[in-house]
Amino acid sequence: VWARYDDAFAGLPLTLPSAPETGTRHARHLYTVLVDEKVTGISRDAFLEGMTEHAIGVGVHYMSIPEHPYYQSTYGWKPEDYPNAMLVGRQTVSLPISAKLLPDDVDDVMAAVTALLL
Amino acid sequence: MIGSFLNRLTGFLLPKRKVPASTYWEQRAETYGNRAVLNLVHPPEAYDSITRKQKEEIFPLLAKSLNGSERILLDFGCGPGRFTADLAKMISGKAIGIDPVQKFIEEARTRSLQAEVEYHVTQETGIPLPDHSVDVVWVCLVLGGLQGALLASAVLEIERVLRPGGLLFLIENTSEMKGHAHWTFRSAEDYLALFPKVTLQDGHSYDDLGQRISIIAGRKLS
Repeated sequence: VWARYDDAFAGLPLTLPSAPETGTRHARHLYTVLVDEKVTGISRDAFLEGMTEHAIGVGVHYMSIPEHPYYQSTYGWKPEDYPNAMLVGRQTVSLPISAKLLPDDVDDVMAAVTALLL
Repeated sequence: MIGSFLNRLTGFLLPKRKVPASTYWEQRAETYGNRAVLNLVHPPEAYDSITRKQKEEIFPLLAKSLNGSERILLDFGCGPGRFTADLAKMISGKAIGIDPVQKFIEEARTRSLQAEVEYHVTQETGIPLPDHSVDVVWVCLVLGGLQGALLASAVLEIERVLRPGGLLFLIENTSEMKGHAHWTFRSAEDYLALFPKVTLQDGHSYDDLGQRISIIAGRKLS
């Protein structure tokens, strides 16, 4: 599934998961892409809704810690002080990935992502 | 394999009629379960903590807004009944949850068996209650999901079932953001203007993922 996503999305204006470092073994737990509205023309949240309208479940893993009110009120953290974490948290989307996905399911995900970004 | 992908892509790219709100929410409930009622940016495991936080933010204000005479509360768009049973306790009376999504109502019924709580599946926004039969209408993050004729119908139905002097308690996302096909962001002023028969006031707001959630409440004119 991971490899098919990599191939299908290579030409799309998304940031794809980094390749694993040499000597490491990737858990393939979450396939996350970054949706940058300035590049794609669609916001991350609109992308989430678009996938949902195609009946494809998506998630966000995760917003950056300073985005959460607890850390803002308890420690005074501000998302802007952690710009890279903030950016990733506001752009990241987790696509379906599971050993139980059938090839047709993967086609559905690939087609929906492509349709939203064309 | 490529043919299959292209067929699907073509299908997704064909212009589609906008699905009715109830169909969209049925499908969303099927895809996400109870989490469908939250902002999708929240991870699934946050369902309970978000609900708890909402209660902490909202319930004290509701308690202040009640005058002690209320006995019947309508939870309009109750979803899986996250608040309904607690609301019945707060008024020491009966809470009636309604929602067009069958899956949510089934879930709500499994969570709450008290005689003081009942749930009904409704068709779109019609409320199966007589005129002036409700003391409180609670609407938590529901109207943002309604537009056009559906929104107008919801407003009329809420005003119809709320008794004169009854309390309308709205919680809505008032962030200045661009919406999408099934969610509209409106200002607190927009919500005040929606209900001419209710003296609504924009009372308090809290933050959820950087978005402003406003609590707007008031009593229906006698």
